[in-house]
Amino acid sequence: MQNYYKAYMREKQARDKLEELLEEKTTKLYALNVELEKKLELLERQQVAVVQSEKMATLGTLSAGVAHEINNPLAYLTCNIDTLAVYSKDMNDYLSLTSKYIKDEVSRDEFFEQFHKLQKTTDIAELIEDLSDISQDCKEGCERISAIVKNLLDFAKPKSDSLLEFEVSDVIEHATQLLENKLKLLQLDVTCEQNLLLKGSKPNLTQALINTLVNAAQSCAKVKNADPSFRGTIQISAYKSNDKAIIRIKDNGAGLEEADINRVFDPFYSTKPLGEGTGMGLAVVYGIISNHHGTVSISNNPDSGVTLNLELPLTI
Amino acid sequence: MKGVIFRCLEELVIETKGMDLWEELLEQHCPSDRVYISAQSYPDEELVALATSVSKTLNLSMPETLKAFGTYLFSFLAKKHTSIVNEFHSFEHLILSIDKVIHSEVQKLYDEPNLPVIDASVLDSETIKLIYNSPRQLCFCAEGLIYGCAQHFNESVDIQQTTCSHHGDSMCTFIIKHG
Ligand code: HEM
Ligand SMILES: Nc1ncnc2c1ncn2[C@@H]1O[C@H](COP(=O)(O)OP(=O)(O)OP(=O)(O)O)[C@@H](O)[C@H]1O
Ligand SMILES: [Mg+2]
Ligand SMILES: [Zn+2]
Repeated sequence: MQNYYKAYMREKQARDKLEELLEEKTTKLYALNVELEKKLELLERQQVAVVQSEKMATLGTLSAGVAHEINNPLAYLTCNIDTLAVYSKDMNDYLSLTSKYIKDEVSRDEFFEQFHKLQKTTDIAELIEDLSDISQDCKEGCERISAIVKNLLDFAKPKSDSLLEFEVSDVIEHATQLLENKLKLLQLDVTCEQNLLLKGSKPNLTQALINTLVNAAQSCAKVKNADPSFRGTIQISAYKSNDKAIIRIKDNGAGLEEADINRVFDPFYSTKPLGEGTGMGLAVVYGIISNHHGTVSISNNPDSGVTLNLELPLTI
Repeated sequence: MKGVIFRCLEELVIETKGMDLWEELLEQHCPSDRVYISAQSYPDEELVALATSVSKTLNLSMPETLKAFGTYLFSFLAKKHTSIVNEFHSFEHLILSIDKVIHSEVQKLYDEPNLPVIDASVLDSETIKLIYNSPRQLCFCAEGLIYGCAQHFNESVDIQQTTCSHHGDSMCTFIIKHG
């Protein structure tokens, strides 16, 4: 009996010792975990900062293109307004003659004589038609400019007040519109299902799409440089699969080296010559898609070029 | 309930009644391979069954048994978790910190412990009101723990339970006079 008790006490002591060890380790692990959580939070905050600064950088490159886009409508607006100034003088001649006739300041014969003289330099029917054309043109030019401005404003909006529900098709339209200048030498095919609703930051997702499209366009441009007859194509498709929205951006550009595939999402990884790429484009895409609880992957197409695959949870 | 509570009962029974009784209790109420480890959880019913048997052998009521057990439990926990308990310089200091400090440390050390909600406040320099709330309804054990805590600080206490969930109240209230 005495021996059993001793054996029991020994076993009990072993349990005590082990539990003490366990507690020590648990305490250490807990402290480590707290530290890791802090680091994670810091990283997440830095990620937000990177997204923001990347946005500003893209804004910089975009503004050159945007300036060009605004210059076009602006040029024909200016031209039309010059024409309008000339026409207004002609109209003035007609109108003042008519007004004189109504007030009996010229006789009927004098009126017709002068009217025919005016008709010879400016045909009244042509004038009416031209005026309506010009006002239509001016209206279109203004609409074009205000659309560009609206896109820019949407894009620059801060993240916090833009957690809304929106359509995938809107994001695609928005991004392609902003990049119109860069994409215009390419063939762009968009197939997008309607009513694919996402929740999150529309400006950030637009940014993700822009980064991807810019890469695709650059890759196509690279092939075209070597072979001027090459026709670059980008296909964007978006559809629903289970409760996810799948967005594919497929190009027929230069494609990726197999060895690069695992690294392209790394921050600052770029195959461009020094000083040209920041290498943050896809890192930011990755960050944004993760923030939306989605996944992103990239792969070479069987024929040529690259497909970037985005999967994002739909709201319902 | 965590093994640490069972280990305390094991120690109490073996110290006061011997190993034979403990073996008998284990045989009656537990799976044959049962060894209690502090960090692991075991079914609440097992503790209730063991405590019920203990109360029968000791010829005590269940509340009295739990109270006695609680008193012993405090010294057991103080011994096991010295670094936590040594933080406190007085009875009042410790009682006021059960929820915010002690049990929150327990939360770090144990995986998903089942802890009560305890809200203690000072009424005057020698009176504390403590409200205990837990689905496990172990207020008698809590009372014992408070006695044990007083012993630990060499204080004398008088505890009145003014409301009790066993009597239809929504929670249990203790008025603790100490000094
Ligand atoms: C007077 C002081 C204390 C009181 C009144 C108190 C009260 C209680 C009560 C009543 C329970 C049972 C569970 C429930 O009712 O829901 C409990 C559980 C527990 N307490 Fe305390 N406690 C005190 C001090 C301590 C101390 C000093 C420690 C250790 C540092 C501690 C560690 C624990 C642990 C480990 C459990 C078990 C949790 C589980 O089984 O999941 N308590 N406490
Ligand atoms: N569509 C694509 N086709 C071929 N290679 C691609 C494509 N998209 C990305 N890559 C490769 O991935 C690398 C990283 O892309 P990422 O957008 O992160 O940076 P970057 O384009 O080099 O720089 P930045 O975006 O700042 O201009 C690129 O350098 C390129 O090698
Ligand atoms: Mg890029
Ligand atoms: Zn009670």
